[in-house]
Amino acid sequence: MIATLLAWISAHMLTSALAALVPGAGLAALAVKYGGAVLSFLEGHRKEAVFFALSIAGAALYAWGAIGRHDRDGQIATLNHWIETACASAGSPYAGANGKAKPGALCQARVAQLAGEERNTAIQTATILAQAAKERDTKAARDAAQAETNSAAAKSAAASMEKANDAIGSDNQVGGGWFASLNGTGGLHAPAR
Amino acid sequence: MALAGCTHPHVESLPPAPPAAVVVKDTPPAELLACPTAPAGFPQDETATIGPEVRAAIIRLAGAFRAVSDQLGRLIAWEKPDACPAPKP
Repeated sequence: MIATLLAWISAHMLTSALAALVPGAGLAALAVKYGGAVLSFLEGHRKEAVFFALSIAGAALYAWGAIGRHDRDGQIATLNHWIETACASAGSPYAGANGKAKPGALCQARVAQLAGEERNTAIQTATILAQAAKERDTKAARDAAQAETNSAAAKSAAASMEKANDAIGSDNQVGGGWFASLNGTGGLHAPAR
Repeated sequence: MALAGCTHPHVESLPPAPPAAVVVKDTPPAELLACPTAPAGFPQDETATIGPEVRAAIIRLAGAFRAVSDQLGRLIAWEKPDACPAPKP
């Protein structure tokens, strides 16, 4: 078992281990040779070494901050442009009139006013349209009822007229009954005597 | 209407503005809404000799008068409900 494992390791990993051994051994030799010298140098120049390390750290922090500031400035510029465009579209410059009001105050009020107006317009429009639709429905229903009444009365009068007209003989003499039916057909009333 | 160069690209994706509806008073002149007055009809205590063709013409005229009066009444009622008395049968 162990012999098999050793055989596998020697077959697969020995080459790599040997290859890594060369630079590793080199570095170890360097450390052994100069490590003590470096350490003693740092020991002797402790202040300078600390200052040097702090300088590098400070420069790195500054560079990091500069990148951040640059990004932030770009975003602020974009945002400022957007705000000025939006306020100009709303009809009230961001800076305000004559600088009397706080910058943005008039624009904010204007935007709020516009939004409120749009909301109110929508509400009023819906109310007016709903009222108009309701009134039209009422009118149509009333007119339909009146048309029904008129039609029934006209039909009845026409039937009465036809009956009276059929009753007229060959002498073509018409009297009160025929005239009454005729008045009914026209919706007329006999003249007062 | 904003200039083409001044419009914000995001404006196009906004929902359309709601329609602004206002109540418009479009009432016809008063004389068009005057209630129709029917003239007095035929005397019912008279007799006459009228041929069938003439009788048919008179009946047609009476029917047409009624139809036009009814239609005018409905039109006026559409604009001004209850403005005119209901036609008597």
